[in-house]
Amino acid sequence: MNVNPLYHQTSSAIHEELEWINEAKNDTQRFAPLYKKYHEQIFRYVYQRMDDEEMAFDVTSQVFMKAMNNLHKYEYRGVPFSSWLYRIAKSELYQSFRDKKALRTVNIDTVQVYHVIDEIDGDENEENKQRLISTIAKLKDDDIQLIEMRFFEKRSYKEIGEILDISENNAKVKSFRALEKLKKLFNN
Amino acid sequence: MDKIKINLDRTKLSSEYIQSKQNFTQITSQALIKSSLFKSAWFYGGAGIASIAGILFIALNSQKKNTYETKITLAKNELTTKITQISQINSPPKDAGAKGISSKPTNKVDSRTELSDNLLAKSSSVLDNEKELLQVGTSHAIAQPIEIAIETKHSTIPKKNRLPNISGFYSGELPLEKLCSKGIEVNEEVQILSFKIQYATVKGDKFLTIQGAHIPSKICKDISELGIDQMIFLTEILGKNETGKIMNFTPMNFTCLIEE
Repeated sequence: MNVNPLYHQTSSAIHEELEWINEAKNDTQRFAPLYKKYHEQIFRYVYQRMDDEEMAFDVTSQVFMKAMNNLHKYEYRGVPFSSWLYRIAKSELYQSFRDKKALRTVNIDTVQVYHVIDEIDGDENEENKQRLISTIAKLKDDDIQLIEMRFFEKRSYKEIGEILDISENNAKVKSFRALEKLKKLFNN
Repeated sequence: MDKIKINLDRTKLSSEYIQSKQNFTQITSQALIKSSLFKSAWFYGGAGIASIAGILFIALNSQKKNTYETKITLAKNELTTKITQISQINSPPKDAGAKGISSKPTNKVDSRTELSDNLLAKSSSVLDNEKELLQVGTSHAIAQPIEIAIETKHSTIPKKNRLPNISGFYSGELPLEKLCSKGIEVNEEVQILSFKIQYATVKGDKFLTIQGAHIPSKICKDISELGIDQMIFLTEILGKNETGKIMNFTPMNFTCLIEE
């Protein structure tokens, strides 16, 4: 499993980021380094769950605007700043789904599909690939999120836990259960 | 979530392309507009002040309206009372209906009509500021006496007269002979016990307590000796009704006319 270097930072990097945050609290122009650092990451998170590229850029902009406006509320609690941004992004995303501005989309690569098939002890063939795609669509959104983050975005359980505001262990258990559900549906 | 779309092998966007779409200036300006409008102390301060001003305006306006309405109500009440008095004066003792007033002989109205006019004029002055009401009130009272009587008939004010009078005069100008002929009267049930009178003599003002309802001939003589019209004040008029209850009646004042 690859590790997101932007998410799992060294303590010095985290401290540097905290300085930027404190400066940005007093001067919005000082938010620029944080924006540059996390824009792509947040955009990819949003675009992974959306079909429309322009809409994904719009939602990303909304996320950073909200972050800037609510920066005074941000408190460092030992988790990276990006986990806070992810939560804002999730909230904005689901708001756009509720407003029917965007359609919930799952973007998968064939390689990732075969990887999941392998995880659920299936044979890697075209038929199973199509079956898995249709099975994913039958899952509940909470389960899709976990499968998506774990297998399609290659996130660590720690990162998943921090984004979903649950413990690392809980993220691991929930991801396992989601995979079990997928397996059950796939084999039926 | 109603529907989920699944895309397989969608073209990946390059990091360069995503970075090219970064626009921090736009984010800052939009964030500033939002925060400056809704988050600033000025916004809340302004909104707060506007709210307080609005509340004060409404409160003051309603108070003003209340005062205005109270004024109108008081004026209305006063007018109704006066009109009632007039109708009572004008109606014959045993037939107080509307018919009585309309069939009343015109030659007998004379000074009483004057009194009615005086009372109405007084009432009108109370309503100086309420022109509309004044017009309605006076026009009904003067131009259509029959209608007044009808209104009085349905009024809640008791029919029995409770205002003291001398020879049917309640206030205003009163010839000396009428002042001295009959005593103070209220109605058949009331017997006047005493009253105080203030008048001028050649030796100066006098303030006396009189037992009974009649003005003593000594006082009439004093007034006559002065030889000029003067104001007579009758106060602390006490009387008792059929049940023996002692009652204090409204004071009166007259301009006593000395006829030459």
